[in-house]
Amino acid sequence: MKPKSVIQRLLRYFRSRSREEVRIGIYGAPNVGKTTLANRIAEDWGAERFGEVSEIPHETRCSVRRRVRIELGSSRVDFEIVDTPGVATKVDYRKFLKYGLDVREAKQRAKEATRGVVEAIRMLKNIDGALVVIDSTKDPLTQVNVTLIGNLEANEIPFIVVANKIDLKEADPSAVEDAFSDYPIVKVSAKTGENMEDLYKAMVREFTS
Amino acid sequence: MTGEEIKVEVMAKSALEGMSRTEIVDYVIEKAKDGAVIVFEGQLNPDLLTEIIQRTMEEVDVEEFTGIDIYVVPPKAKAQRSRRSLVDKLLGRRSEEGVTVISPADVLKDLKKGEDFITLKLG
Repeated sequence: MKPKSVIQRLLRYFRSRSREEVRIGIYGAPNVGKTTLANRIAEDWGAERFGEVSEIPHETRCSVRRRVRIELGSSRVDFEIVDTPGVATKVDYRKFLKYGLDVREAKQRAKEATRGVVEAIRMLKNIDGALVVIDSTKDPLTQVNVTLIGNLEANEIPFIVVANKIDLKEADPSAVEDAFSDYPIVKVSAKTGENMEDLYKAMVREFTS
Repeated sequence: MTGEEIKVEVMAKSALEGMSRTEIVDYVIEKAKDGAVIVFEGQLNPDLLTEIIQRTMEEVDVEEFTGIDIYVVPPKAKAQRSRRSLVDKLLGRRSEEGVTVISPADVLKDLKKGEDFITLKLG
């Protein structure tokens, strides 16, 4: 094991020991269903909702945290789930105008969105694990997905790839499996709750070992 | 051909090796804000790409600079026969070189990969 890797693991161990919960960041591009997933987890385990969802990109512009206790069989794990703003390489306020926002609202949303991306990236250094949410109706090999997964892997942060939106007719979760076959993957519909049990099992398995 | 000129800069791997991480990030941001497309020989590691995205977002102003597009071209088009192998290559885990293209947002309209060449359509 490389010295950097040992130090990273030790730092993460002591950070997590200083908290009672395992801190999990929900990451992904805008509009992949991160907040829908966070809300589903909250609903399933009796926590407060994370926030509103919207078809307008960058609805979540600040991280939102909730404590969630997941109990499966004899396992009981306390998580701090962090719903992070969508990661993007560009934010153009003009794209928001087509959703009916006026120019002032659109510019304000763009400013807040860029700050949100910075916050999400900074948070990467302060999590114990991540759920990388990917929209199964789209090409999974985007630069944001590849960069996020590469960053988590390089920093030895455990993560689960969540192929979301499998309830949609055009979904192709097998494309996500093919693209990221070397990593733990769970195919879900955060909207309908399909396969959420599999995700909870994977979270307990991947984030507590 | 009509329209505004777009500058394309090609950066050799040897030039990158002589730069610090901060210098590379500064260089990318400066060029992107200036409207230039940068073609890097080789692949930038995920940590560096993440830092570039973070700095880009810190520099975005809603009127003039809206961000960047990043494209990683794996070494050979035939690599796409295996998606796993493609991810390896996109993550820079292979020794072969490939190319990384960073452009100002929405400037690069199309990128075609051939066996021994890439074609960039800018506009």
